[in-house]
Amino acid sequence: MTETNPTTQRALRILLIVAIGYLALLIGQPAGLDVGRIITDVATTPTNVLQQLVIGLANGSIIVIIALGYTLVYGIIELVNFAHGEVFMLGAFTSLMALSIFTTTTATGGLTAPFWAALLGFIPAMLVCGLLNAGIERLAYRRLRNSPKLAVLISAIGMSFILQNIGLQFGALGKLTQVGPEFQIFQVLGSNNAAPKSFPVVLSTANLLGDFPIRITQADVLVMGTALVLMLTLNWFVQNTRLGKAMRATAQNRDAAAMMGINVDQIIALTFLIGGALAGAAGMMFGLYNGTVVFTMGFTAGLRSFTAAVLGGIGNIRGAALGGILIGLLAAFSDQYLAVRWTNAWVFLILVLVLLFRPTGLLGQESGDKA
Amino acid sequence: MAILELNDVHSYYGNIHALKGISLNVEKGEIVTLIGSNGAGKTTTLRTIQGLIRPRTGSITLEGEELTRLPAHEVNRRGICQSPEGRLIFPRMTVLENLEMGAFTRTDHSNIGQDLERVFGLFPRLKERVKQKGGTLSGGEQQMLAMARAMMGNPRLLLLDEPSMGLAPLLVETIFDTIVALNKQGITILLVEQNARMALSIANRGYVLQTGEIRLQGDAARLRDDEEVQKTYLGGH
Repeated sequence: MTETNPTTQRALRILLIVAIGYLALLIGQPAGLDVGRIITDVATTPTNVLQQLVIGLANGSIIVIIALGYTLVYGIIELVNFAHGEVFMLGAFTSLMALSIFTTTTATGGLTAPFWAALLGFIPAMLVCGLLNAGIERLAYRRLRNSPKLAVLISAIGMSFILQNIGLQFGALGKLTQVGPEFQIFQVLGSNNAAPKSFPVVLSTANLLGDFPIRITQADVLVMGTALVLMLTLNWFVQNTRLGKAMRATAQNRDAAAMMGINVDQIIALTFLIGGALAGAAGMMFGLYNGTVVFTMGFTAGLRSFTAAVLGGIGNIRGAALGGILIGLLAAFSDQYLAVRWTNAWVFLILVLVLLFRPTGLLGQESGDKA
Repeated sequence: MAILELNDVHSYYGNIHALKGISLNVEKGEIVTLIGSNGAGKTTTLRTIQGLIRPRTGSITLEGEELTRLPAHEVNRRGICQSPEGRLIFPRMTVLENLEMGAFTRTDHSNIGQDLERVFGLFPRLKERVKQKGGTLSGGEQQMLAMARAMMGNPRLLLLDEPSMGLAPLLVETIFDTIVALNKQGITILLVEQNARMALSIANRGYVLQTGEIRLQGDAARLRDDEEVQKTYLGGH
């Protein structure tokens, strides 16, 4: 590195940001960045802005819950668990199967399930995904604990391929309905492996605000409420319980934690269990909110949640919450005012910019012990 | 019977033969010191005793019980607590939380409060800073915290790794006074030090390590007078 004086450095940085901004305006056009149209849209239907705020907060809540899983695992073993998005996807499938037990066909041919079934469904989804995630750690990461980080990362990517294929093949169980009526619970999977699966209708889509131009539905309230409860519970657990403190100690210095009598392997497994359980809950929230689940959804959700975790400061629980909400809002506004098919590109751009200019994220990194 | 006994212990870092047959023992109530220059294997010896490094051959016993293949957290549960090299306190936990972690495995919860008062008695500075994050403490305070944290485990054997490292001379005096005070309370101590003069002045016995082997051993007073020790570790005269 050559020494440059700070003023020159700052000037260069400003120049770079201006250049990126200019480029964004230039090539943003095909990506939906049409300032004139956006102004007209906002002026004609200003309530849309608030509507997207609600949608962004709800989707952001789901992203937060997934991002917590990335951030917890990164905090404790400095691994980006690339399989995490797929655990979320399988969580959505588990939720769907849990709901299917209580699913009935309505007069119009649609599928429906009672509200309590959805609440109950969180339990198997969280349990299955928690155990799955802890199992992945045991199988694919633990024996690589002292290997170079790249080895674990590749193992994680391999795991994500395996899980995605499990998701794809899982859909084939829908064919069992052709075997006999005892397999009716699989009717929710439909007859095509790869096709998106519809969640039974559980929540009313009526506007809780009546005729008000902004819609807030039961799904919005449920998703945001659940996310809030999960976040507060996690925060309480990590701050105040004996095991939560052991988790923090292990994250801050693994050797010192072992010297205190903390079984580090168990604490790492517990961290994966909690992260997985959160992903399972997010799967149920996603299904209830968006209505369909598909085996490829782990990738998009993973990308957005990972970006959220990095944006907030990976390893930092509060950072994941902030990042998740911001990414949710960005995605909602991009969907409305830019172009749906470019939303992921914008999210990726955020990821690249954060890594370039502020790799510790907005609230700072909290992992490792370099102090 | 010796509290701690190492018998012909060999440890490796990858392919580097770091400990080449260490045999030593620590009797109940003693202060035993390991001295030697950088890279002699002092810290490696403590890490091996603690179970953070698995010895390839040899045996380590605590009051006759085999420790050799146990992981670090099991060694801690059997009563060996350590204030490690570099202190390794938990920087984003408060002083109180750090001390709580020291007592993590204890089941005699009623005595923990009493021990907390005891370490605050030894280190009043820590009491003033209970709510402060470990990482914001000064070097000397962090050293006190690391020792206090090890004390909270109510150890049968306390391992202290370079407690004087990086501290101002006045603080070093305080730390060594505290070590003597701890020993007077009946705690057996294995002390690793580069400050050989100080270490030998408070220890009962000492071992001199050189490139992974024990070069000399004996009464602290005798080692202090040994010509070779004086030349190499006490800076001559």
